[in-house]
Amino acid sequence: MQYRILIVDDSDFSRSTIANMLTDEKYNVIGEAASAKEAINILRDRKAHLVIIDIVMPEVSGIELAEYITENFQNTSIIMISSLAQESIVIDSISSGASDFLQKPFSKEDLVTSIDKILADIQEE
Amino acid sequence: MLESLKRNEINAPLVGDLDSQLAAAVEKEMNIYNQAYLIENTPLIHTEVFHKKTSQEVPLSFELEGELNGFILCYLEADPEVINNKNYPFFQSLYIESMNIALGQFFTNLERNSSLLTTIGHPDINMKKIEMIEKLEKEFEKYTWNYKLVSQMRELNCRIIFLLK
Repeated sequence: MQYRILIVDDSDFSRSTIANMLTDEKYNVIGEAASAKEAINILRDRKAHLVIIDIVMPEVSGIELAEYITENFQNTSIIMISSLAQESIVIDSISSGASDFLQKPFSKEDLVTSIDKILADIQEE
Repeated sequence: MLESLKRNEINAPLVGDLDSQLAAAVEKEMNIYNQAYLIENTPLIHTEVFHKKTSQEVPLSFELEGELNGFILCYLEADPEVINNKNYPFFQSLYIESMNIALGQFFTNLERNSSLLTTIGHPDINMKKIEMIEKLEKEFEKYTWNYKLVSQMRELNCRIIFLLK
């Protein structure tokens, strides 16, 4: 089974770095979005098992996007990412519906471990 | 807020004065996704001096919110021997994300060491806004330090200036 993943980050560098970490054939990066609006448009067109969302983005924040996805795309899991990792930010991330939080810069191993754990939990359900 | 922090007139358990708390939060070296390294070049200092953007520098701003308020200005020295039209998009994108990561780590360290909760907004390259912030620099307390951004066997200077209310 190929896991369908969407990457949402206003940083071009961050999006391409994350996409390059997910080259294993079990992952299918279905799109890259630079904003919440772009992400929602992609999700309406293509189903995703998982969305990786940067917290600090212009206009609509990653936390707001995660809340929207949790409410409207109930079979989609979320990993929040941010360069800031204060306790309140991690708590807000999990409260918004995210399954995990990774502080930037993270390694490929950290990302893959997080994704595989979340997707394994989904399969068990 | 800044004055009360300097006098330690808040409930948070501050260790040392604000200058040393800020200096202690600087990450000395950071690996940016194995594509670049940020290496501290000069330590964080409290300063009266402010140098505006030079013609060779690529500027970037962030807004600060929380227990520290104000702005951060970052300047990348775009050495023409390193940066050309072909590699400019890569270096600009790498630089913006590197500053975002360095500052995110800085404020994460600051909260862990000193319980000061401050967040940064998204990186902004709007020149008019940056020029407006530069014009107002006298209204702020200023702190600065430098990093070297090392990537593809090249070194570029980045200076960071905190403008705190």
